[in-house]
Amino acid sequence: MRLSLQKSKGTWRLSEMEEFHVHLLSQASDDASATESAAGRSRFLSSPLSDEDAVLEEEFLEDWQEFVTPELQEKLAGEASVFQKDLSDVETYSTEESGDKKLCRITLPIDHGFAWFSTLNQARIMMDLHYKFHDENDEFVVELPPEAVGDIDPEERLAAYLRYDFYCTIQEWIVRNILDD
Amino acid sequence: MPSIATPEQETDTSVFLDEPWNVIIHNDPVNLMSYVSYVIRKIFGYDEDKARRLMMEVHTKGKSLVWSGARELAEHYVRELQSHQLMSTMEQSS
Repeated sequence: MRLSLQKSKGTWRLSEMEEFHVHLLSQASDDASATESAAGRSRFLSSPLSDEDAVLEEEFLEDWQEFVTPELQEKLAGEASVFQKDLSDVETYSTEESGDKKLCRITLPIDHGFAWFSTLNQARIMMDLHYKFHDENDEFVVELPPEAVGDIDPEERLAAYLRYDFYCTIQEWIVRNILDD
Repeated sequence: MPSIATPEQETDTSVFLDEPWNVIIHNDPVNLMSYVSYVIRKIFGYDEDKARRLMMEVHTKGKSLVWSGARELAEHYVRELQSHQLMSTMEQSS
């Protein structure tokens, strides 16, 4: 399996993808549903103050929740929406090398780079929360201890980790070549 | 040599100088180190070395004080950091 990421003037492109890659990407929007769960809201729309300071700043926190929180929520959802819309433009093609096998590619404007990064990041953060990829010391947990498994299916967790790793690879490329260029 | 008159200086004791507010980035296991460093540079305008040093402090010590100053700006910076999905808070210097 191979995936090619290239940047040219004003655009960047994911190509040489197999349908499996596109399938993994299409799951990111669902994975990313960041602010639809309590855990997601707590992570992405967290208090700007520590619990200790929050007691003294009730009015400020009310204002934050009224004005800033919806703005952040809208921004996250907007970025996921750009990602989802972009994915609907995936085209198939074939090369001499690929023969009858269809490959997939998508060409994107440079300024969609952050929306892609954000959506993949939201997805990874949500997967990390749900599948408990890291312990309280931020160490990666290969196999969950029985008391932590709950309703997590080990095979589903492994599949989620594959997506997590795949998204991470694309994100690294976006930081180096799009955001930080 | 002519003497230079030194203007009398007065201190306005009625002015209350607020303690500065600190902006803190907290570690999380998901955000990429390269991304954290990029966001610090983008938001605070720090050079690459300083941004990398602060990012490493977040990574190794669990958090880093990345900026101090007026409350309104601290609020702005926390909002920006959170909109980039970095865990961040503000607190008044004691």
